[in-house]
Amino acid sequence: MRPGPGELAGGLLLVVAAVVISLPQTAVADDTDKAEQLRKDLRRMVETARDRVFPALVNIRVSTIDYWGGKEHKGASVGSGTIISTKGYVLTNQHVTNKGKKFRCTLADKQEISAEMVGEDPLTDLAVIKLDLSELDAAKSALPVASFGDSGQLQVGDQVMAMGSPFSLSRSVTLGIVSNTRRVFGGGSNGDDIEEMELEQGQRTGLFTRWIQHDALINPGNSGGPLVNLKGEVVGVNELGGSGMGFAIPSNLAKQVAAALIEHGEVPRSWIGISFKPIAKTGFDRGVLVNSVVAGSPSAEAGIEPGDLILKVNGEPSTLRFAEEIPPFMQRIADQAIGSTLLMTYERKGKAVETAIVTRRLEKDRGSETALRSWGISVAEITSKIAREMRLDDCHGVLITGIRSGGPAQLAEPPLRYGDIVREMEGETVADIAGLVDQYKRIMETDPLPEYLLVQFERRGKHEITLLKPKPEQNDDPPRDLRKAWIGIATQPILKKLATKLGHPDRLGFRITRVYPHTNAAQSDLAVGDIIIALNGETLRPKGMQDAGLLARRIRKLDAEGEATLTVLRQGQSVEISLPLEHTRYEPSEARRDENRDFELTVRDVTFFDRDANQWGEDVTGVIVVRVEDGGWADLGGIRDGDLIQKIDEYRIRSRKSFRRAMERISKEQPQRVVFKVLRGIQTRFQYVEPEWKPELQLKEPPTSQSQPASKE
Amino acid sequence: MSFRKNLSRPVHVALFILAVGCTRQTARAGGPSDYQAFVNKTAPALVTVKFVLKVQGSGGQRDIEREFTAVMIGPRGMVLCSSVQLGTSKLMRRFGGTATPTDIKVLIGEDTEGVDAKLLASDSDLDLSWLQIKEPREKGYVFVDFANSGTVPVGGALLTINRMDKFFDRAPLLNVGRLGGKTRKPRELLLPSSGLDVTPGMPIFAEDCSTVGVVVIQSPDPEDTAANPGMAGQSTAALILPSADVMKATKQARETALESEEDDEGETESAQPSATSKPAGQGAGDESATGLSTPE
Repeated sequence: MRPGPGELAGGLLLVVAAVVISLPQTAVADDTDKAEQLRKDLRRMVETARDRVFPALVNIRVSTIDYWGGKEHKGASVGSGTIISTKGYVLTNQHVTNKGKKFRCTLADKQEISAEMVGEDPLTDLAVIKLDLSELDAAKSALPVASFGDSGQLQVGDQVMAMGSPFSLSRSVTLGIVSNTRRVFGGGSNGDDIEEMELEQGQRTGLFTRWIQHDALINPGNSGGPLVNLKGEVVGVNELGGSGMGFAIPSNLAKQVAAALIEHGEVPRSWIGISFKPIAKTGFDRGVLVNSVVAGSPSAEAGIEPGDLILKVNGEPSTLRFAEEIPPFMQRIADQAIGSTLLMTYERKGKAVETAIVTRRLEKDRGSETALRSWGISVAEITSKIAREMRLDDCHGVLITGIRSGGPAQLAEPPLRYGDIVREMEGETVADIAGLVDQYKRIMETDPLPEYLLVQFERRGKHEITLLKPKPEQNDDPPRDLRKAWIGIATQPILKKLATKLGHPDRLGFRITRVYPHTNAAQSDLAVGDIIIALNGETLRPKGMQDAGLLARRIRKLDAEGEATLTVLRQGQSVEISLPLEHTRYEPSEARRDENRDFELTVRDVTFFDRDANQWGEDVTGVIVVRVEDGGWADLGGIRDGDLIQKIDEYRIRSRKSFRRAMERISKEQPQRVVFKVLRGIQTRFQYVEPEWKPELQLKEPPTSQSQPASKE
Repeated sequence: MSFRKNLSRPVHVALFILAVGCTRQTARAGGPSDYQAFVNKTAPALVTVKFVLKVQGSGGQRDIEREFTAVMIGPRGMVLCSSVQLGTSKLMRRFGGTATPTDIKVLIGEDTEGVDAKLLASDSDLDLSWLQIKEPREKGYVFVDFANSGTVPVGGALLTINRMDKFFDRAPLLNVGRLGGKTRKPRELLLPSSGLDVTPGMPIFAEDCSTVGVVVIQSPDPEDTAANPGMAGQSTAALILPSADVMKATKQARETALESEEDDEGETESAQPSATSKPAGQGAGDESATGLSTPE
């Protein structure tokens, strides 16, 4: 029988123990010394390595804007990075900075400063941002910088450290060993192709990467952080992880990409339009197989066809047996100067042919995106890749990437849909996304707005037209119910058994469990414990718990302007109590609302039931937050749904009116920081909100009033 | 500006003849041809309400485009419908969010575009909501007159008329059933037999073409279900709210509409006992309080 894992482990421990016991005593002492020395040496090396990179470690908080569903959506993400230059350049992952509009970096000495985008390279998932050095505390020492090591020197088994902010826990270090230095992810049924990885829909990545696989623990938040050798050099940029495995982009690749991003803001690359397949399982013994050729690409124009066997590139033999050999080969081609000529020798039907391929610029997979809110669409630039995949003739027009449900595009007849290509707007050709945005601005600034816009769009090869009615998005107040008669009490039904136990088996009714303060009921003689047995002389006889609402229903049927007489059983005696009825109070869901678009939060009035539930007295005033937009100023400042805003800076908030007035003043003053005093549960809190008064979006909505009441009042 | 001011009195009077209904004499004659006449006269008062429901909950906001059939109840564009259909019922609010009907349009007859309308009031207890066309046409609208109400004994015949959906050109559809019973809980309601079409918000007629009531969704109140959470689903039913209650609620809805035009400026709701509201007076925008006409 095979031993179980536990037994096996126990067995191993026993073996080790036995070996130790059998050693002579001097040998044991020597080994103990050696182990101690080794431990000290390792610790010293780890400390040295840590101290060389740790000060250059950066925690990056990113405010993002994404466009989908016909709207822009703000968000926030966190990642790690490394300062690689005294000029303040920080290397990180592109998926950390992706869609970022604002970057805040926390340095090792806890200084928090802002940064701006330098360049992104999604194909390697690398990006460089630049710290705003003017915000640095001059009194502190110079900006610490980490240096790159040679990732080509790494061996399986080498010890490495991962540094970063796992789960936003800043300045964390883990230690592990290199598990593989040339990891690629195989795809296809045989695993002999390289899997095409995507950072997000339609955006390829990892084309040129052979990852360093290691077991230094990394988690979300480590992304973009350095993988460090024991010499204190950055040998990789952590990108992927899971199940105890980490994958880092080799520093040799990262260094080259970072340099290009700093110099050009992008990585210029050559493209020939071929995908390759290694020959290990093809039966060929040399060359690399052409898997596919993009129609109209330089390779297609040079006569290369799928199935050809590439033997030489610029005279150098090119034999790629395994998937791991593909990325450096791809990089070799990409590194050629754009527009240069590649001499390729290929074999077709046993015959070697030579051809010249003139490379072209490798274009980005995804282009600009935005949302045109008043039309209810989100749109994207049509890149060459998108055009190819959608089988479009060219890159003209704009791709619809999302429709706001219930918005103008969806209400159009026929409705616009995801995947439609907008070709013409109001008779004008839509050349690209910038053109459409220009048109949008022009149209939305006209007064009055045109009732309908004629849109010509392409859907699966069909050229259709529709009418779109432009309409700015607005939030109306929720509807209110008709107000009816009400008495400010809560009750429970007294059924037969309970009545019997209470000593009056025939006197069923409703026992008062609460008299709401500041109501007519509170000013009457009604008290908790009273049992209401009749309303206006009509006996109340609940049959079961299903009749718990009987009394309230009967009251609601009365005239709210009138009085009610309750027959109450109190200490065995019947008492008649008359009181004026009131109107039903508004529920929180019926409260009037105000939306502030600068801070992106919606507030509502405090209702009677809010006061009751929170036991707030009359002196507690404010407005209740009902909605905070993700990634908006209020969200980033820590304002949460349910907060009672009591004060904003020096303005005391008593109602929506004073809230609106305060926000209007703040909007004019445009302070750097706004302090919201809120009541959250039983605690007051001061939330510091830092607005970005400069426009964040280049493609912005037409100007609207800063603070919008949800309804006309 | 109140739309009421747009109409002159002579027009107002002329509108009365537009009310639908057959004379009792005609109805008593019975027969399919009379049913056709009933359909011809009643169907124009059935309108389509098209709107976008903004649902706001913990998961964010979602906009849903919806449409359903409702009934014109006044010559100047007052429309009655089911709160459940409009998304304003308490049931929606019980889940912690809000549901706000926006971009409301009323499509009349063969119209495909619709005219703008606003929500005047809702009564979740009764499952009724009232809409008002913002700019009613001068010639007025055909409407169902709930003042012309009748009673039907248990077992008596009931007529209802509905419309098919837009694919079928909203063809009117007559449905004949019987009154199955009556209940007094949670309020006085008529119980339709199983064969009757009970689309919420649709008017129910007696064989003599007088109105009997409106189909409403009724379910236990939150207090009832607090101790019996499963009861809400089990005890929810489409029943008939008698015409008298429809009339009474409509009157209150009109008054509320006037009050809401002078609504508060968002001051925090006081916990002090509320002052009782004063009656709003006559004619809150549609007919005068007694303006529901006798059918021709």
